[in-house]
Formats: sequence, structure tokens, C-alpha cells
Amino acid sequence: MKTMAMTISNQQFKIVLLGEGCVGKTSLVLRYVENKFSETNQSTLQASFLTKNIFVQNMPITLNIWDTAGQERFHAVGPLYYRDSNGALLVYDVTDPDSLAKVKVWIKELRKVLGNDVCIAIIGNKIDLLSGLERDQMNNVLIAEAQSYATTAGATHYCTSAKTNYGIDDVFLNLTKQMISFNQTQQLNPRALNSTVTRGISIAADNEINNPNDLQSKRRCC
Amino acid sequence: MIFFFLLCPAIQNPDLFGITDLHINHIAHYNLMQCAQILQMLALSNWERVTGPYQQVCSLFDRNCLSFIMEHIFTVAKSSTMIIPRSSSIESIQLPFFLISDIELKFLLEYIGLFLERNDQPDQPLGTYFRKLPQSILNFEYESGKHSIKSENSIRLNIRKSKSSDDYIDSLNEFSSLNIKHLLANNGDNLPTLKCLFNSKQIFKISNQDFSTKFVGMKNEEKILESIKNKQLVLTETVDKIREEIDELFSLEIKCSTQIDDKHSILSIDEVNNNLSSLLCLNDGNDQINEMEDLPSQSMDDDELFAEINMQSLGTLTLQLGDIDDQHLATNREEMNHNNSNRNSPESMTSAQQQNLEHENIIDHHHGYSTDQSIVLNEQMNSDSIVDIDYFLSDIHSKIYRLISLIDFCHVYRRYRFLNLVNKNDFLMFLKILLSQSNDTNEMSTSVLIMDIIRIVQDMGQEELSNIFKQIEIDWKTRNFYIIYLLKSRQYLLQRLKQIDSVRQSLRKDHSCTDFIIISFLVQLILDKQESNIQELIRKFRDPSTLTDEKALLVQRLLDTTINKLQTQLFTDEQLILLRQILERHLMNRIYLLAFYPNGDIDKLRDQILHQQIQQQLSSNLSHNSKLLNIPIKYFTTSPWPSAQAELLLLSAYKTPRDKIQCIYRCCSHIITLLSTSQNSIPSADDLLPVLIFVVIKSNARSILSTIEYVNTFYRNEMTGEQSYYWTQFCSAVEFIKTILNNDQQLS
Repeated sequence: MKTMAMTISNQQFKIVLLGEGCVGKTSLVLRYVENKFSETNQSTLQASFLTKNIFVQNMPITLNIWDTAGQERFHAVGPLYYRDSNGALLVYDVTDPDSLAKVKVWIKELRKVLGNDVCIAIIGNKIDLLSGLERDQMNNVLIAEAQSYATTAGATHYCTSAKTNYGIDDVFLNLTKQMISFNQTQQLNPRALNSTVTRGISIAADNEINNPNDLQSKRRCC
Repeated sequence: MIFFFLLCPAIQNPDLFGITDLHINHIAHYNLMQCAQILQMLALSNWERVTGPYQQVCSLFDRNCLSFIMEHIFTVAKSSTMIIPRSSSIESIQLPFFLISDIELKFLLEYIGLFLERNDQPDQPLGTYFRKLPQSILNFEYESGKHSIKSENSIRLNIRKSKSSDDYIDSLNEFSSLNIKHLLANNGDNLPTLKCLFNSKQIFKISNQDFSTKFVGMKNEEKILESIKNKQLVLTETVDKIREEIDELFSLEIKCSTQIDDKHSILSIDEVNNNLSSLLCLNDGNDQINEMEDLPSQSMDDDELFAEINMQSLGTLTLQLGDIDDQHLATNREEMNHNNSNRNSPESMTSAQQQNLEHENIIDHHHGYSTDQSIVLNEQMNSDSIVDIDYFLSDIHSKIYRLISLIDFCHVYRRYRFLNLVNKNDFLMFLKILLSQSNDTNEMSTSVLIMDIIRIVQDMGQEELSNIFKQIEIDWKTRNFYIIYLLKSRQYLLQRLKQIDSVRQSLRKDHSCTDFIIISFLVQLILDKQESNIQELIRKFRDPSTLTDEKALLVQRLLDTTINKLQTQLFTDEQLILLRQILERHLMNRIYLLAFYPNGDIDKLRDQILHQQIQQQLSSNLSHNSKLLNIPIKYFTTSPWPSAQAELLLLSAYKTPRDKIQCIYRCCSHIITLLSTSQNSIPSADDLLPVLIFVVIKSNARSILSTIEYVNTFYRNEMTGEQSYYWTQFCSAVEFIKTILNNDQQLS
């Protein structure tokens, strides 16, 4: 009963989490939801479906984070998960070019199923594994490639480390803000009103406004 | 009656009552209904003439056959339930209080009497106990028993135990302690009062020993001093905690008693009394200490003398104890109120008065106690080494105490460890630090007190000061046992709290069960009135031109209109949801086959093909280490997840989409719980999905495809959060299985 009342009052967003098996998406999401990074002692029962309640712009928001199976052989069932998603997090390993290639495939698929109705964030995880100059600048060939790809695909790009808890809160916060503004534009849009989870198409413009800023700020901090 | 309300409905609708998992079609339904009717007729045939078409059928049976059946059922039931009442009766004896009506009590006493006569073993503990029961109680019970026969529904709380605890107070009378010991022997060791009794005895013994040895060793004074402070703080903390505890308990009780309806509230009062009894036990323990400390020294007359001495030296401990006792008193008074509120008949009022008197007794003792404690302390001071201590010293002594109680001493001292407090100058410096702090925080009374202490200490020599510290240490030692006692009491209270919590849980469960039954009954009434609408719905479902979306909408609309016709303000929100669920269950049951297999045989065939394919191609030669699924090795230990499989097999037993989703949800959470038991793993989707696929294949539940269609048609828009996630997992597992099968076919 209580949970029902809560869910009604809160704005709910569904975020799918995509990425190959070893890119660390479980650690990433556990770090965000429970602020934990540890292979050994843990009290968390599971990491497949997690919720996080946050306040953004004074609004209570519930994020439902859907983990998906990343192995190649489950690829075909992916579209079942994307349905009704508001946001998608695509995780790659900054030391593994294959994982980025996989991300590109997923983005195409997401756009195919959901069109422009979904806010996409590309995440380069494990930046703590970089060394030398790459580490200092938080940049390497792969990251640069991912950033340029993100701009063309209408997505945002972030560097994170679940181990050192770098940049993770920003990812979720910015994505949530994006989804909120998305929802607001879509509520103004009468075409979207008859679908249960309303979405707008103006996201492309949104992204174009947001992305350069985000990227610039990212570069500045890098 | 039993047939009408219990058996016949169960025979009629076995699926609703959870007797079978199978779907029951209309013909079977009708047959069952006839069976039930015949049974009903037979049951009544002893009292009513059988008429109509059943006459012939009934004549085939013996007239009394049903009563034989019933007798048989009851004897079976008796033998199977025999164990339960026995254990519960023991429990009720163990409880210091229990709820019993006058008549019941009378029967109980008579029964015990009879039992004793028959057994005729005088040395049995029960017998001794029974004989030693205060005669007054017996008489009293009989008397009030007579009265209550007149006013049958007057229910009285019988506080036997509190009476025997008064016996404690009256005396160190052999009679009652023997009494209790026998009871103890009878029941194991669970009587809380007795525990307290023994605890306090032990405490007293220890303290006696200690008093004789306490001046032997006194080495590192600084350390000791620090520990005094520590313990002092601990003491205040525990006192506070206990106070909180009691408050909490109390609010809980009040909640309990107001929360639930009549029957429950009586139970909860019982509960409250249990609770209070534990408090009483505390009190009893206190009293016990009292008496024991009084006993060896002198008779009652000396009490007054003590009181006078006591006036001079009210330490902080006394204050704190006083607080506790006040708390006890408050609860005691509350209890009396409770009792009073439960007494309606005038004759029981007298007993209430009687009890009031008893309680007042207890209260008196409490007042006595707070003073006695300090008396004892004082007395020991006087009798041992501090005979020469003058009024002045005891004054500063009490002032330091008061200071300790006011200030977070321990915390402050941690920062000024370099100060040797036993040294006079250092002590003064420390006091000044405290003074400045209390000035900072604007605590006037504290700073005044500190200034006063500084003034006195300045006039004192080092010798006197260390004397005072010694004194404090001694005091602390004497209190140590009380601290232990407090801790134990707290532990006990916490246990009680837990116990009460579980009782509340089960009460809540009972409550929801009654709700469920009542609402189910109501729903049947409602549906009878809605028959025409249901027929209309069924007709529309049969109509092939109705689209699936429309069907879902039709069901929702019918549910809405049906519920809106009721006076919804009469229900709570929870009841409304329950009502809707049950209504949905009944309704879906009517249209189940039409909704589940919208295309009739085609759907059935499709399900059957999938079932067979899984059976032949996958299930038989699939093991948990199959390459196909690639389940991580670390999870092999939990294979083959039998509980999840069992859950999934029940899928077709549930009729409403809501129940089906719940079933899937449970299945997934079984898997996750099992997976997470293997070491160092937080199962994520990567782990869950392969295992789920494995479970789906192995369990190979029937009509999976139709289930998915059915749920997606009727429930898709109502799914939220976790439910919808696990449902998606299930769908993708099935989807994956289909692709494997397709690939296999293409290969061959």
C-alpha cells in the first residue's frame, strides 16, 4: 500500500543498463545506488533490478535501473527490455575497444526501437586503469572516439570509475535532468498525450544544446 | 451449519479455495454443486423432510451417515490437533497474566481438582501448587463466577500472578516462595518474576561479598576515577534507555489496543498485560532487593530512622532511580486504568478496588525504594571506613555527583588527559575548564554548581580530596551491581518487545485473513447481482470481432462499475484493493478460458507444441553446465533451483494476470536468493537470465505462450517497477528458448 502511494506521487523513470559482461556495469550501478565497491563483503542481495530515490530540482524522482544480460547470445531478446525506457546507459571499458564497438551496435538498436524518445549516455568506465599521460588527461584514443561518436549519435559521454567513485553521480544526475526536461517538452506536445509513457521528439534539439556544454565541461575537468 | 458454511462452498468451488490447481469447467462445476446440495440435504435430513428431486437420491443413504462422517472427521482432527492445545496451555501457564473468563476459570480449577483426586499423588508439584493457592483467590473466583453467569458477557482479566506477587511483598513467607518454586518445577524455568527474584538474590549475595572486600585494593587512582566517570555515564545512559524503552513499550501497547477490532483488542490487552507484567517483574525485583536489604539489618521501625538519614544525602543516583520508579508508577497506574476499563459489572469493581489497594502497596514500596537505595549506601559508608566523615564532606560529595550527572564528563576529560584529577590543582583546573564550558553554553545552574565546588575544593587539603575520590569509587562499586541489573532488565524488555512484535504480526495476519474471507463472501453476493453484465461480457468475449485491447478495457470497466456501485466509503483502502483483487479473481475465473485462449484450439496447440519441443529437444539433455546457457561455475552448487521450478509449475493454477505475475516474481526472487547464497556474488542480469532460462526449460510449465499473451493483454499497463522487470526477464527467457528451438530446427 505504502509503496503504491509512493510510486504514484513520484515521477518514475526507467533506465536500461547496457554493456558487455566485463565492463563493470554491475559495479557501476551498485556504486551509485548503494555506494559500494567491493568484491567481498556485501549485503546487497542482487543487482539486476535496483531503484534509487533522488531529488532533482526539488522533485522526488524514482529511478528504476534495469540491468540487462550483456552476453552476445542474449542479444536477440534485447528489444524486450528497451520498451518504455526513458533513459539508457551504455557502458564500455576504456581499455577495451571491442566493448565500444558493442556500444555502437546497441545505440543503433535503441534508436531503431525507441527512436529519439530515449536519453542516451555513453560511459567509459574503469578510467582508474589508465596509466601515465592518459591517466592525467583522462583521455585516450578510445575515449576520443567515443566522444565524437556520442555527439553524432545524439548522446552524452562521461568518464567514470566505479572503483574510485569518479563521475558516477554526475552521470545519473545529468541523465535524470535530461529525462525531466524531456518529459516536460513531451507533456506540452499534444501528440504524445495518448500514450501511457509520454515522450517528445524535441530531444534532438535538446541534446544539441546540452551536449556541447556537457562535453566542454567534461574537457575542462579532464 | 458446518456443511453450509465450510464444506459445501469448498466442494462447489475447489479452485477458489485452493484445493486443486486445475481449471474447473462449467459442467464439472454444476456436478460439484449438485454433490454439495445433496450433502447439504443429507446433513439436514435429521431435522427437515427432504423434498423435491433429491428425495430419491437421499433415500439411498443412511439417515445418520453424515453425522458419522462428521464424527470421524472430528476424531481425526482431534488427534491431529492434540499437540497444539497442550503446548498453548503450557504457554498460558507460563504467562504471568492470562485472560480467562470466570466460568472458564471455575472450570479450570474444578478440573485441576478432579485431576488431583483421580491421580491422588500428593507429592505432585501441581497438587502442591493447587493446594497452596491462596484460599482467598479460590473463594473469590467462585463468587465472581456465580455473578458472571448472570451477566454472561462480562469478561474479566484475572491477574492471578499479580496476587501472588503481592504475596512476595507481604512476606518472605515460605508459603508463597514454595508455591512459586513448585510452579517453577512444573513449568521449567520461564517465570519471569522468578528470574527477577533469583537475579536480585544473586545481586545481593555478590554485593555482600564485595562490601567485605572492597577496601582491599586501591591502586591506580586516576584510572579508577576515570572509570568511575565512565560507569556513571553508562548508568545514566542505561537509565535513559530504559526510560525510553518503557515509553516505547507503552505507545506500542496503546497502538495495539486501539488498532484492531473487538476480539483483537481483548487479545492485545492480554498482550499489554504481559508487557506490564514484565514491568511489574522489574518492580518486584526492586522490592525484593528492598526487602532483602531490610531484612538482615532491622525491622520496620528502623525505616523511619533511615528516612531521616536519607534526607541529608540525596545523591544523583537516587534522583535517577526516583525517575525510574516514577515511570513504573505511571505504568502501574495505567495498568489499573486498563483493568478498570475492562470491568463493567459492579461486582468486579470491588476486585478492582482490591487491586488498587495492592497497587498502592507497590507504589509505597517504590517510594520506599528510591530512598532505601541511598540509605543502604549511606549506611555502608557509616558502618565502614567513613565514620569520621562530616557533613561538609558529604555535601561536597553529593555536589560532585550532581555535577557528574549534569556534564558529559567523560567526553570533556578525554581532551584533558594530562590532568591528574586526584591532584588538587589539576582538579581545580579541570573544574575551571568545565566552568568556562558551561558558561559558553549558558547553563546557569551548572556553572553555579561548579563555582560552589571550586570554592569548597580550594579550602580543602589534598588528603580530604583523595578521601572524597575514594568515596566516589566505593559508591560506584556498590552501584555496579545495579548497573548490571539494569542492563539485564533492559535485555529482558527488548526480548519482550520482540515477542510482542511477533504477536502483532500474527494478529495482523489473522486480520487480513478475516478481511479476505468476508470480502470473498461479499464478492459472491455482488457477482450474483451482476450476472447479466457478466453474461454480456462473456458474449462479447465470444464475439470474434472484439479486439484484444477492447477485451482488457471491458474487464476493467466492469470491475470499475461494480465497485463504484458499492458504498466505497465503508471500506478502507486496503480492503478496496483486496475487494478488487478478489472480484477480479472471480470474474477472470468465469471468462478464463475465453480470455486465455482467445483463438481456441489454435492457442492450445501452440502451447502444446512448445511444451513437447522443450520436452524432447531441451529438457532431457540439458544440464546446468551446458555451453548453451553458460551459467557461471560458482552457481552450480545451487542447481537445479528446485523451489523456483516448483513455483513456476504453479503458474497455470493462478487465474488472474496479477497472480500470474506474482508467481513469476516469486520464481525470480527464489532464484536470486539462491544465487546470492553462493559466495561473493551479487547476482546481476547476466547471472539471472541463464538460470531463469534453465529453470523454465526444466520445469516446462504448460501453456507458457498463452500466459504471456494473456498477461500482456490484460495487465501490461498496470505493471510497475520490479514486477515488470521480472516479467520482462521471463518473457525474454521464453523468447530465447524459442530462438534456440528455431535454430535447432533449421540445422536439422
